[in-house]
Amino acid sequence: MFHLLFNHTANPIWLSLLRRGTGGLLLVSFILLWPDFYVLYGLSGVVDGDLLLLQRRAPGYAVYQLLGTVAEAGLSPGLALTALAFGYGVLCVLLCGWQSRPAAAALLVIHTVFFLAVPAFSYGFDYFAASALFYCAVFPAAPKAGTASAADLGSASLRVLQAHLCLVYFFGGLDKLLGSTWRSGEALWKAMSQPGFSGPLRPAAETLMDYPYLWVLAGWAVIALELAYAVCIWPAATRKVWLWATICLHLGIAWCMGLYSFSAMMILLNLVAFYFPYTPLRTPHSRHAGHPPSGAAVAGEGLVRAVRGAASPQEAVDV
Amino acid sequence: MAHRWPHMAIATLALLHWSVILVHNAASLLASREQPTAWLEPVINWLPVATYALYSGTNTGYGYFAPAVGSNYGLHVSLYDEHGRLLHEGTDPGLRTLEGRLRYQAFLDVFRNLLPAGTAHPGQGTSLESRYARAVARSIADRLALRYQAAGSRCQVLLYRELPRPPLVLYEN
Repeated sequence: MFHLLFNHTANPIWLSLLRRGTGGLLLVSFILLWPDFYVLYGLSGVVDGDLLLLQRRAPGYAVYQLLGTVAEAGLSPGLALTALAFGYGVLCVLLCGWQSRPAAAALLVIHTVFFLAVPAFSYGFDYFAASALFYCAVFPAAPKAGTASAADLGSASLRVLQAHLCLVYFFGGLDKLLGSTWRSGEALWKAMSQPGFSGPLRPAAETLMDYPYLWVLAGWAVIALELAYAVCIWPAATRKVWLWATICLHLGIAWCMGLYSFSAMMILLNLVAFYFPYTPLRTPHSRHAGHPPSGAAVAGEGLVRAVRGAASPQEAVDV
Repeated sequence: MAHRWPHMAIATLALLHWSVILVHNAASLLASREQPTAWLEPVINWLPVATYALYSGTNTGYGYFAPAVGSNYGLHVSLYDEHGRLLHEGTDPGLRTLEGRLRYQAFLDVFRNLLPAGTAHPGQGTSLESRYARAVARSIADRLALRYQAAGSRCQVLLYRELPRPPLVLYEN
């Protein structure tokens, strides 16, 4: 157990990419939602806030409670909502660079207030965004010329994220396998054809309705991909195939169903967990002079070796 | 050995984190199979676990679109003036973005509680959930009526079905 958690060598660039990617993605997603933000989350929105509060998850503090308190205090709920939304945007930017861990913690609180305390208008993206923010807040910053314990913490953090993704796909695949509609292809067809979801590839998918066996095959392919993810993503021989196949699955979800934010978040988490940690650690020498990486900086020889003395401290902080 | 205790602490936290994910997914999987989940609820609802799960984004199951893809619901609202003339009708509450429409579509899943379960008249169930769903439908209609300064409104909850069958009307008011 300890060996699996702590003795992993990885390029620590994944930590900074997790933070930058999450901050950028949340900002873009929030901007895309902004024109409808007051309709969904304002006190005079599409549904009565008190009615929505009946869906509140116990320990969470919801935006509708906050706005109610603000209104009772004689202040403007609209102004409070705008201020909170502005704070959300600023924290997304901060997460990409300066003070990223405190920014992630603060952003997680606001994200929960907006989207998760009352999950009425939420979907999968919001939960994965919260998980990504949680990881951004608790995972260490990219280790500087550090100690072995800093490297161990980085290694354990990566394993936590990797195992989380394995659980995500395992349960996704298992749930699909247990239902008959994914095995018959009906579920996939239904997901792509019914009103409510729309993407640029949807018309192309609809032209395939006369080929039922194709839908059966695709349904089984999704089940196999998700169920085997937890096994096939680990060996170097199958990792790239499974990673790119999973990314293609999410691209398909985005282009056929219009779930762009969700797909982008899943692609980011996959790349951060299983692509960037296995990339070669770039040395200042190779980066500036255009030379290939030195022998100590080949794939998988990054963080732990660097801080334990097999490579120079400069290599360890070059992220 | 020098780092044994920090290592054990980190390993314990990692195990607890994965356990929270496992418990929520086990509950979600059982619920989707209509199996009892009451034995898991004390764990899920225990305040420390509930708080941790909420703020780590793990208070959910990952069986999206599984075991089956649910049918989408629609809420059709017709608004009338004081003379009974139609002012506005439609299923869109005025959302302008794809992201907003996706979220509204996810919200409309609340109407699954109107599906007839042994009742002769759809939408006339008396369970707390179906009453809540009807209150939501009325609330949306009332908010739209306020926006369009309508004197009256009528709402229908629709369930999309496979073509060429028309949508199923679950609730009318």
